[in-house]
Amino acid sequence: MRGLGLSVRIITASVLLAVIIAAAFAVLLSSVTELRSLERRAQQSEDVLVAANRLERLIVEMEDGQRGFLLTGSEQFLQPWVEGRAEFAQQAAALENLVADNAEQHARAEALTRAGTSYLNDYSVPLVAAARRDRTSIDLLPATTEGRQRVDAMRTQFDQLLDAEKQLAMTRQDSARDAAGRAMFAAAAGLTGSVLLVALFTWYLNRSILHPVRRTAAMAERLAAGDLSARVSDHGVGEMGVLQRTFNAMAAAVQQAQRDLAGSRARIVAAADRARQRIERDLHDGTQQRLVALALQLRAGEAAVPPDQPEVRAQLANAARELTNATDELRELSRGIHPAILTEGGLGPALKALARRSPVPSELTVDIPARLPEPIEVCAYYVASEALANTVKHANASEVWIDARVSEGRLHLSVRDDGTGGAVPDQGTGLIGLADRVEALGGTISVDSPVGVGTTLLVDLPLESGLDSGTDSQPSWSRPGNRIHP
Amino acid sequence: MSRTRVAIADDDVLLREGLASLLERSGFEVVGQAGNGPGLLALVRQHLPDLVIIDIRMPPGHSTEGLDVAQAIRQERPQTAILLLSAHVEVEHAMQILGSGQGVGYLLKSRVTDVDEFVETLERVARGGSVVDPALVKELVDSRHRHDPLAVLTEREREVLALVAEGRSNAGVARQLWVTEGTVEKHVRSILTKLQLPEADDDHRRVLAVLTYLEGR
Repeated sequence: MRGLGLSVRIITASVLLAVIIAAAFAVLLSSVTELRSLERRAQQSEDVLVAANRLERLIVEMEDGQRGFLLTGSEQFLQPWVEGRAEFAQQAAALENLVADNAEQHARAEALTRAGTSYLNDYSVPLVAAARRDRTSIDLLPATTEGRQRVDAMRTQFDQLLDAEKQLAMTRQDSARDAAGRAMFAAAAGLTGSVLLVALFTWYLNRSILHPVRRTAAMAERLAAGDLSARVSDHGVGEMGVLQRTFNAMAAAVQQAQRDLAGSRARIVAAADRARQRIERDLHDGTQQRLVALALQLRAGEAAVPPDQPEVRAQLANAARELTNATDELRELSRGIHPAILTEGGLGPALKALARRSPVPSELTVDIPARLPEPIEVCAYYVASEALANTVKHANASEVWIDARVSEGRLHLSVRDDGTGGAVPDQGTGLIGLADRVEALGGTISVDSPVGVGTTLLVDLPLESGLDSGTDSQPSWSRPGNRIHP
Repeated sequence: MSRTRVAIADDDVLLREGLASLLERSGFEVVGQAGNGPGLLALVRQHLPDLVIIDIRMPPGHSTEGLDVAQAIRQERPQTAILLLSAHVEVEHAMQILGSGQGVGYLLKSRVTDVDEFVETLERVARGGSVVDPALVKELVDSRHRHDPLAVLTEREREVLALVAEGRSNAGVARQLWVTEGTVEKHVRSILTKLQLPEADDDHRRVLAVLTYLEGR
């Protein structure tokens, strides 16, 4: 079942629904057809009854007319007889025709025709002809008795035919009732079945398409909102499952790409920091030492100058002093590149030194129980340093508060001033660079700078960043073919 | 009076040699030079110098090895005066070395090029005085605070406070400011009262107290 695609399932369900509806309509249609044929037959029975009655009356009227003529000799009485004789064959044929589809009734009709014909040809016509010739020659009693007997026999036959036809009509009425009941049942069953099936089909579509689509859409929304860990259950049916698995794979790929990017960003930042540290060390241990040694040599030269050459002595002294000034400038420069105290003493002492040197009056609170990982210390220091520089340059503040504390495995740093506010992160404030640094370590940074109230910069850094910022480790995608040689 | 016997530890040979020749010229006796901490410790044990001059950054870590060896010398021979030189001055280092006792100094390395001043500093340290680099003191005193307790001091008192923090005695401060020692004494008493600092029995304790005050301000 799991292997079947959605379209196959939907087509199957649709075909099933169509079959059920078609079956219901077929039963309904056949019932209606049957009803119509039964109605036609009922009409036919009616016609048979009418035709039989009319024929019977015709015969009775002929007999009555004939008897009146025999008794009175008046041709006037013979009028119905004449008309009946003329019409009999036609009406008898019409009755035979009407019952042509029923052998028994047809046989009865034929017998009636035969009896009527015999009545006319063998009895009535010769009798009337004889009476016209000579009425007195006829023995009336036996003649009329034979006529009565013949007509009574025919009436009995007519009664039989009519009774049979009524019986037939009743049977047909029963079948018609049955057919109508069947049609009602078929219609009701078809309607109920269709409604049930449509409901079932709707429920199934909802469960197998609409719900998974909603879940997948919700997951896509979370993805779009930045929650790259969002996944959707991928047990959907057919193509829906494929869609969900594709979404999950896409989310995983994006998440991995983001991790890789953050890792590479952290490595780049760390590499830049190490370079700054190296420059600071080279300046202090190399250049500055050399300059001091040089100044010492000048001092030695100065001391060796004979007392009668004060100008040379003064020149050497001046050169030594200038060299010392250069050393001082170099010291400030290297502090700006990377403060040695950050490496030697950690974030607390470095922030203290930073706050002490701030031209804007500062209040510093530090609650950091132990040394933090180096990337965290360096990042926090540069954030504080940059924020402080911004305050000095742009904020026109009378005081700045720096607060650094560790709680629940995170370093929280805030730099707040009471200046003019209105700082916009992308207008040369260096905040973008700070955000890069902080995000590279998996931290968050926010700036709140309402005009007239002051600026607050908040940074939150996880101490266990989970990001690999070391140079020793190879990137995860590293293959022997594109190894990076340091 | 015998010459002050000095041992030098610095990993830069050129600077070490320059310093040694300066010291020899200035009336000190250089008993030995070392390029790292353990080398200096051996020199101290062998020659028992009066004064050691130590570069804070030395091999192997190029970090604060000089501080460690200074502590070790304090443990072994507390009477040895110690002058720490550094490419940059930090209050934490100053407090650490001053906390180990008197007869210590903490200076920027470039101070060695102002020969007269440097020699005077060496003599003060050798006599048991405490010396803190003026740049560090300036940084501490100049540090700006909204509700600055130093605001109650007069300009002159701030000058005196800075010189006291550098480790100068009243006489030393008087010489620097061209005033009498009595005037300095008056200023110092006024400062201590205004800042609610206790009177200290000796210059070393006074330096520690003032630095602690400035740093914790």
